[in-house]
Parts: sequence; structure tokens; C-alpha cells
Amino acid sequence: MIQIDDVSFAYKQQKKEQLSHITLAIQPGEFILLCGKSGCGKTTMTKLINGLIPHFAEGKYNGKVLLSQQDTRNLKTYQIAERVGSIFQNPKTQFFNLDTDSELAFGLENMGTDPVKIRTRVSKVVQELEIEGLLNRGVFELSGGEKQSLAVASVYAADPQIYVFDEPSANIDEQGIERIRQILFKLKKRGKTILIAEHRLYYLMDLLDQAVYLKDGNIEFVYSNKEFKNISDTQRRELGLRTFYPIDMAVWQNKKPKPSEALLTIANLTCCYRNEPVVHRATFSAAKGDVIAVTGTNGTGKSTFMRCLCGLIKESGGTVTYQNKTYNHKQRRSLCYMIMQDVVHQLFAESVKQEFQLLNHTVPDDKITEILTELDLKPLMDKHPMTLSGGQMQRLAIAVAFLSDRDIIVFDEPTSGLDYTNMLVVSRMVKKLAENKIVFIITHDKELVQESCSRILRLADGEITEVN
Amino acid sequence: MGAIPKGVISLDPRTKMLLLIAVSSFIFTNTSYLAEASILVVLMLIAVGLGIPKTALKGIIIYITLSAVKYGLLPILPNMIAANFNIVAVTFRKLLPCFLAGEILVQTTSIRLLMFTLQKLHIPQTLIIPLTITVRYFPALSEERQAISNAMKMRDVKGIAKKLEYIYVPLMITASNTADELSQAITARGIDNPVPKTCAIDIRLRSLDIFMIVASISLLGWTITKMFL
Repeated sequence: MIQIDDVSFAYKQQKKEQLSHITLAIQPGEFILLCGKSGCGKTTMTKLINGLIPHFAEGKYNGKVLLSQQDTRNLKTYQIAERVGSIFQNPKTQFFNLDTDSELAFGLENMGTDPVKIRTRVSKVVQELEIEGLLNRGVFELSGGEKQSLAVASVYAADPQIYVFDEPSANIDEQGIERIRQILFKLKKRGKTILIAEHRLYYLMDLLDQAVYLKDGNIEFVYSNKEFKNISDTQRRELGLRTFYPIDMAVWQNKKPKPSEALLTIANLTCCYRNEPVVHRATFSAAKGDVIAVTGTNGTGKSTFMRCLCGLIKESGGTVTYQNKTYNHKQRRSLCYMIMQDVVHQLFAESVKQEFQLLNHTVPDDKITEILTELDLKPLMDKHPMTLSGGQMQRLAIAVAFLSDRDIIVFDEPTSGLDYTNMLVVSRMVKKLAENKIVFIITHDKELVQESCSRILRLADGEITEVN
Repeated sequence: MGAIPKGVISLDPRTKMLLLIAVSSFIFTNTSYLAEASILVVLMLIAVGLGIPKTALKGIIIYITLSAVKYGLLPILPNMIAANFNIVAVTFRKLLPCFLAGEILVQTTSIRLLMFTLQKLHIPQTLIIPLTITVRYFPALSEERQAISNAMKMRDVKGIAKKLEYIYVPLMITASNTADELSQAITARGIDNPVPKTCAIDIRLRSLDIFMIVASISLLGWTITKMFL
């Protein structure tokens, strides 16, 4: 089905090869997991199969990839698209249409399928994948999980033989993952060939036929399902892989009771998203040292709630009190700091070092050096923030939060798309921040919650409850 | 932006395009306030019928305000100021029907329908694809801009000059990433397939379309005759 033959690839303007001498044969109907640490070449490998290499990404490309005996070099991108369906990591940028109905029909329309057949096929797909709730909506109003379900459904509508996934779970909640898992089962049952590059592994354990472990652009190991499952826990951590099994929150060690002395009190806080209330009269309190997970399914309003706490959205009712002083939404902006999911949006200075000078108070140089050393960023001090890698940018944003005078720090999905090792790094920094601040983490990542959070708030149907 | 509103009437994209062209050419040659206002009222009714009453309302409020400025406020202002204001108030008011016709086209037509229509009008695919990607790109860009402006609020960035300076770099970077990812995703969906695309939505010219087309063509014809007479 797919034959990767001694392929090496280096992106344009990069000396280092992202993949070197990769050889792999994939049989029809096989389910292949591509795993390994961040930057190991997983995503690049998915691009070999869906033809983005060599047709889209520029770089140095050697070797060849055969799809049913045909070299991808000699196939046009649309010919590859008819055989290989791709689901990408970033749900924001994988839709062409702005409304869901159009997106579902888009692949078939491109192939010139008869309109009547398209309508029949789309309604069948909607029924099979149970996505009735997604019909006739704008793609921007969908939650991350809904976007990802729509992405799979629209590819599935065109019915290719091969499916390539690039970290489909990165931005979605447990229910969303379960939904994707069910869809994957269906695809597998239909004999589709599936390749999936992924950090979160637990939901794939019963699906995979082979697991390919990549390290620095080389295939280090190829495991069968049985061999993969037999990897011990210690070994797994050494390989930098995420948990193989769903996290059991019963063994949650950092758990702390509700503080007796509250520093931050939120009373009857009501927040709206586009004039619709999504959080009703939330009431809770927190103390210094608390690391509070904010959980709940995609689209329940976790981000809205936290944006309101940070003062980016005006509350529709209720109060936020800190150290016995009530803060309105504008005042809260200088009390809280948010580390966004896409940290590119929040780095503004011309060098890493100057990023700290944008804080509204002066920070002594030795403090900056100290934190940068600790986060492995010191050699990059004079570089432009935008030239850093994603992980480095995230650490820089955290460093800025650390030296800011803000007492409340909010993380928005800090570990989506992070491998085990980097997740531990984030967790360590969270704990360090919590030494003299209150930390909130919006997350679906139970591994992170177990590792670093001391309390869990759950948002469902507009109600905030504390999980014990 | 997003879901296509369901109105009590629906129009073929071709009709909407023709309407936009007719209204624009008429407006640029027209001098009568009454004719201009009537065109706007007609467009407003169409907008309401197509299911975008908010846009129609916004348009009419701006129009009335600008008219009030022109006929109520400007005559009592000193000449120097009035002359300056006059240009702004009049030009913008005159362009308003064009904007409204544009909004009608953009808000009530899905991108794929636009693409399909352009293809039906025999516009080459090499032009259609970049054009439609550009249209798709703006909402993505506005999402990015929103996120960056939130980030600036958190960083306590104040003053227009500073804001412009700071928004520039992240926006350029994310914009180029977004454009890249979007085109990748679209390529992987087979957009450059040379076969004629189909459209799952049933589009054809209905009686209302025919009526609108006749009206638009008459308007165009009248505009052209007036220009040469």
C-alpha cells in the first residue's frame, strides 16, 4: 500500500535533516502509530504520505514514497488527495469553508461528484459518525473537539483509502478523544489504512497494529501491538512517551483541601460569551500555593470564565475580591496574567531579554539571567522571540509571567501537543510559580492534573463544582 | 461570519454579483439624493429578506446619521470646517449602498458557492483558487488579531502607536503561518482537481432572480445611457 524507501528530508533553510534514511512498508488496513518526543519527525513523516512533501513543503528530499506502486513525485496533489485524507493538528486552520455543511461536501465537490450523490453521502456520514449537532453552524463557533470531529467527518465523506492524522487529540477533551477513538475503530473496521502521529497514546492502545518510535529523524524501533504494550512504565518514561492507560484520578497525590484562609474570593461571578451566559454565579476561593485545574468538556466556557477572571471580558454579575479589595475587570488585568495556548500572540519585544522590559516594573538583570538559565533559554537571550521554537516560546512566556508582579497566573491548555518530558517541564514550572502565586490551568490533560494540580474545578452547564 | 443565515428569500450568487455591479456603477454616476436613498431602501429590504436584518439596520442608521450631518449640521458650521466634513460625510454616504450590496453578497454566500459560481462564469481556476483563499483568510486573520489584542491588554500595552508597533510582528508571523497551514489543508482536500467542481446546494435562477437581474440590467442600462447623453 505505502512504501517509504530510504527517504531523507531537510526543510529549506535548515541544515539538520528532519528525517534521515527512513524505510517503512505499510500494508493495506494497517493502523500505524508514529510516536516519539517533540521534534522527532512525526509530523514530517505524515507529510511524506499526504504528498505535502515534496509538493508543498520546500526542502531537500531524497528517496521515494510509493502509494500503490506510484511515486508521490509523479502524482498530482489532487490525485494524492483522492487516496489519502489528512486531518491536521490545528483545528483553526484546517477548514476552507466558514460553515460546516459546506465543509462536509467540499472534498466531494472538488472531485466533481454528482450533487445528489453528495447529499446522500453527507447525510449518511452525519448519521454514522453521529455529528447531527454540527450541522448548519459556523466553523469559528465550534469548540476544539467539535472542529476535530468535523475535520474527520469531512475527510471521511470523500472516502479515501488512507487516513493520515497529525495529533488529532492535541486540543480536545476526553469526550472528544473518545469520539475520535470510536471513529477510528469504524475506519479500521472498514479496512482503511491509518497513520497517526500522536503524543497521547492511551486511546490508541487497542487500535494500533504497529508503533513506530522515531528519534531525531530516525526510526529507532518498530513495535508490534503486543511488544508496545509490554513496554514497562519506567521504559516508557525514558522514551518520553505519555501514559499508555487512562489516568485514574483516585491516585491523585497533590490533592489539597479547600483553603481555610482565602486570598482570592470569587462570588456569584456570571460571565457571558457573545451575550449568552456560560458561567452562572460561580463562587469559590483560593489561597497562595493553589494550583487549580479548570476542567470541563470543550465549549463549556472554561476559557470565557478564565478570560473574565483576567479582566479580558467584563463580568455580567458578581465580584472578584483579592486581599479584601474588590477588583473590577480593568483592574484585574494588572492582577492576573494569562499564558495563552498560542504563545506567539503574546511575545512583543525585539529580543528575549527585552521581553522583560515590557513589564510595567523594572526587573533586575540578575533575576532575568537566573530565570532564563533555569528555563534553558540563556543562550538565546539576544535572539528575536519569534525565531524560537514553540517550546522555547512557551517557556519564555512562562518566564515573563514568573517575573511579572501579577499574583494570579492562568494557563490555557499549556500541554496540548507536548510529549511526556516537556509536560514534566511545564509541571515543574507551574509548581515553582505557585510558590508565591495562585495558578489556574485550563486543561484536558489528566496526566498534567495528576502531576501538578492541587485542586480541580469542574465546569458543566454553567455551574462550577469542586472535584474531591 | 460563519453559518449562512436562512432568510425568507434566497438569491443566486450571480444575481447578487450583478446587483453589486449595477448598484456601484449607478452610485458613481448618480447625483440625485432621492434615487440614492431609494436604492438603499431596496437593498435594505433585500438584506432583511435574505436574513441579515442587523446589517440592514446598521446601514440605515449610518445613512440617516450622515444625511443628518450633511443637511442639518453642516449648514450651520463655519465654512472651513464644513468643507472638510463635507467630503467625509458625503463620500461615505454615497458609498454606503455599495457596501450594503457587498455585504449582501459576502454574508449570504458560502465560499464554495462563490467558487462554484465563478467557475460557472468561466473564470479560470488559477484565478479562482487564490481569490477564494484570500476571502477565507480574513476571518482567520481577525481571530488572530483578537488574540493579540487580548494579549496586549494583559501586558498593559497602552497608546495607539505602541499597540500598532506591537501588533505588527506577531500578526505577520501568525498570518504567514495561518496562510501556510490553510493552503496545506486545502491542497490536501484536492482543491486543485481540474475536473469541473459540483455543488451540493441546488443553485439555479428562480423567478425572483430573473426579476432582480432584469432590474439590475435596467439600472445598468440607464446609467450607461445617461453617461452618453
